[in-house]
Amino acid sequence: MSILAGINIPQLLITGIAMGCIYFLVATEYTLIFNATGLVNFAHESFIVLGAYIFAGTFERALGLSHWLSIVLTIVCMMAFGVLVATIVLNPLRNLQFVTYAMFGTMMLSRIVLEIIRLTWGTLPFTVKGFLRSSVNIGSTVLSESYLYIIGVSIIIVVALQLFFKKTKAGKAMICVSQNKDAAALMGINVKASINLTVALSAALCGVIGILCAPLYNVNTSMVASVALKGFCAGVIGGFGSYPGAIIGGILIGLVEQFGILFLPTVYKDVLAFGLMIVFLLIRPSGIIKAKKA
Amino acid sequence: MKKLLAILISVMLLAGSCAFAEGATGEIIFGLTAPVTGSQAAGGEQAQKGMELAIEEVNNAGGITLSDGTTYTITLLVEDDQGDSTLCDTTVRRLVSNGACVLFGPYFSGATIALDATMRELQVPIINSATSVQIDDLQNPWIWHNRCDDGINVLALGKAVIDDYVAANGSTEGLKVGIVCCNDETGTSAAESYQEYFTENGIEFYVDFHNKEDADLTAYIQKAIAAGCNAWVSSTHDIAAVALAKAMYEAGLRDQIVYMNPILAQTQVLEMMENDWVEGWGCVCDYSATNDTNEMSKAFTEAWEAKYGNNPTPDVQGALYYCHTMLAVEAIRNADSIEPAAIRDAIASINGFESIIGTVYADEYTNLIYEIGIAKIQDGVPTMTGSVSLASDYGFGEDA
Amino acid sequence: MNKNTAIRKGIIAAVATAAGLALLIVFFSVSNTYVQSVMNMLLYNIVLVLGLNFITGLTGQMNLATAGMLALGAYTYGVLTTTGGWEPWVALFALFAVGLALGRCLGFPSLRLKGFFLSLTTIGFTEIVRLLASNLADVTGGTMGLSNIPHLSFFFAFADKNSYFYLNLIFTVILTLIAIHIVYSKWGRAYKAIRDNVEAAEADGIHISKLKIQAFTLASIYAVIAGCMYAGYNTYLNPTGFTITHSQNYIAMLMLGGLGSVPGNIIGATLVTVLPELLREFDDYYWLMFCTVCLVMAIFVPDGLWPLLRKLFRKLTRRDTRALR
Repeated sequence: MSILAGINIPQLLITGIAMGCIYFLVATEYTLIFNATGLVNFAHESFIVLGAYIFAGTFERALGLSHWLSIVLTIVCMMAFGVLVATIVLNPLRNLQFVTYAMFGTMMLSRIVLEIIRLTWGTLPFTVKGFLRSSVNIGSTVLSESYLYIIGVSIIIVVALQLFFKKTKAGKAMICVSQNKDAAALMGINVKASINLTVALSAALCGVIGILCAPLYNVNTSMVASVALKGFCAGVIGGFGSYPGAIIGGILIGLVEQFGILFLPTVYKDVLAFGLMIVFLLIRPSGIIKAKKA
Repeated sequence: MKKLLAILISVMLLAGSCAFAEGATGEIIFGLTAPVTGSQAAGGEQAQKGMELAIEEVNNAGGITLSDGTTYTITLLVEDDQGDSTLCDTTVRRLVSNGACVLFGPYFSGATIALDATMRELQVPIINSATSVQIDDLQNPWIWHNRCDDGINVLALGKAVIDDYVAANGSTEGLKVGIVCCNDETGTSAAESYQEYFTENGIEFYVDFHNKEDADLTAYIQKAIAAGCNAWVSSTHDIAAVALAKAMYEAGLRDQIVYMNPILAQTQVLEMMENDWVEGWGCVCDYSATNDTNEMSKAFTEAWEAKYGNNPTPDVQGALYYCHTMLAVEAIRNADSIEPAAIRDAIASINGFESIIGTVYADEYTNLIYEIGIAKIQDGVPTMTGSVSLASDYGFGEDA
Repeated sequence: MNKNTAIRKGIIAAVATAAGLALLIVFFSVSNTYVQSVMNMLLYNIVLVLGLNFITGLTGQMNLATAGMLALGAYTYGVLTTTGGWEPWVALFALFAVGLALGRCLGFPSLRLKGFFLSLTTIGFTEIVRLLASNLADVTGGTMGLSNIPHLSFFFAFADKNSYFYLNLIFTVILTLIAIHIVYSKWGRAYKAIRDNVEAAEADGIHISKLKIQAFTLASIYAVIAGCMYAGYNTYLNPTGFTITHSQNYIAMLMLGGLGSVPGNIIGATLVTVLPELLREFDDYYWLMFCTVCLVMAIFVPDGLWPLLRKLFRKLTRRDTRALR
């Protein structure tokens, strides 16, 4: 095809897959909360941004800690934040009469977190210089270090989550809670604690996404606005509530975006993801892989 | 009865919104509408800090004394428009209701254009740093932009691209310029001017736009490379500028001729890039905190650092709004009045006022300045390589 | 009989609130251009929320497409009257057609999708409208915007910004009366039945899909008219006014005032439009305070202010009668 002449295909493939992995991570992070509480966390964008700010703003810039220590501390902070949010916001919202109320509540939560971020760290966008910014050349293709890390971390998270759900007591309890809260409570599972843990896990994952996005998008309050929405698209296309679906949906969107704009003006890049999602919602609302619902 | 309560509450809310303060005598009110909250707040902060610095200097030096003997001190009122052009209409009206006699802002060209009818109605001069050429077309007597518009920037940068290419290759043979601009009002108006300029000069070009928030421009650059571009001009925003630099570096485009709008010279943008990405890139640079060749600019940087430290470091918006304020003060002195209409006429007749960003000459339109500096990035620092005075080189402005 | 009086009371309350607002608006708009511009904003926000109330308030479908609908209305009016050269009042009729078509398009997905999925579709819709408005520069003026949009005028009056305000006021009052009529009618009760229990509603013979599409159509028509008021008043349009954040604000107006009741809608729209203006004094923190108030209300007073006010008032009056005894 003439349109592909002179285009570096492997470069687009790698970029597409790496972006897809980000979308997949986002889809996983809110699917966790969705499965545990039945709530869709519209505030997840602000969680990711918060993770990035804690990592880059506080631990890297203000305290000057090493990368690894900063990453670990960020994840710990985000888990604590997750428990806090679960207790004071998500649990009360979960018990409201209409879903609409809960959605509205999380939207407001998102704005609150973003405003707190702005008041704490200021308005200037910044980045961590030298963090995941180098690249490896293979022939004419440049593999950016951050893309490689994104793909690697995604694989680790897929495996770790599987192990966690299959092998650990806490993980199994989470699955029970997501399937039937009353039955889980009767079986002696502490539902509230389990939900707190799930939200903490989700917040930690948001922290990881924030850290991975910092070298790509730089750190500012609107850094992941489109990523957060496309994460929703990835979930819907793959199959809402399904983890394998999220992987497929994410990578599909990543690739469609990269290759789609060869045929369309670049400014319509975001239309592609949303258009694809609406088509799926109308034709196959259950997505590519239908989530198992017990 | 219970309905009465509901009515009462709405009454109270409405009445509360109408309470506003009157400007006291001996006090001049400057009004700034800028994004204080929201995602664009960084620019608003620079504008506000720049103005506060200027106002403090003027007030400390005794304020403004008019010929009738009254000494006025300046008070700054800031209204948050969140960068939203609809809100701007409200904030501007509120500022004028609160007694502002000169307005500053808004931050974006789009919002400025949106204020066209409102400013004609309110009849208060407004000064800002918007650069869209559309603002000139409005021919609105109340809107003044104290910064070179994109049309003038393009003349200078387009010429620089051609000059650089000719210096390296001997002629313009084979030159194809990639015009990679943001799709907002700044980018589209610049792209239009670039196309016009390159068409006039018989240079081949390729045009493509990107979204302002787009942080992944890999495929975008691949498309441009496939189209055969070998020199680049861009007019875009901070995040997209970083993304563009990153995508070009990763696509293996090194040692390219690249010229960009002033965003590249802003400290916080350069700090988000690795030095290698933009080595040798050129841009319009009205002000740079690292530039110490210009005495006025150096003094401003020192005053800023004494007041605010390094958080944030001053960028071009801070410097521009400092200049806008000083310009308004000069206009009030010349007008010998604090009436908005008199101030407007004084702004329109300013001729040869020295400021950090150059010498101000007002013309019959809305432009105030015809001078730009061009810088090249070396080791992550913008270094001035020259300045173009369109007033002297092209005969703009001076005779106005 | 009891029900009838309750309905009547609701109607009177709404009309009284609207009339009270109207009087105040007229009073203040004469003197102060800032207040006038806030009031204009308030008027089209009220219309939007009244429309949104049919979908989200009564039928219980989360709709984040309000900004997109508003944009379509505003741009249709703007493009037809500037590039198209149409007479403004003729363009108003075209808007009805747009509203009808839009209602069908958005109502259709709501038949298959619920809750979160529907809200995602509406987010997608709003984003796509915004991106098209920014990038179809030949038609919409792109990010540069569309300027010199004429005021809506009927041959003679409303030619300038001041009198235009009264036109907006007339629109708002008429649309409020229509909304009262619908909300407290058989339709309104059927919509509520869909929200509260779909199965039961269906069993009672309510034609769900027809009513849902009807609700969306009503909302669309309200939104495009609000768009016309918006474009006609501002005389300038650009895509920054139509983002998801704006859609969320309209939901906030609906939620704060109270789902499903017209006076609640008006209170909510007034609060969200006027409160940030009042809280401006708090400078840096106003947005944070405003959002926190919204969140706290979502958790503790999810039904909104109007039911709360009514309950409070009932309690007060009861205590009074007891004291009298």
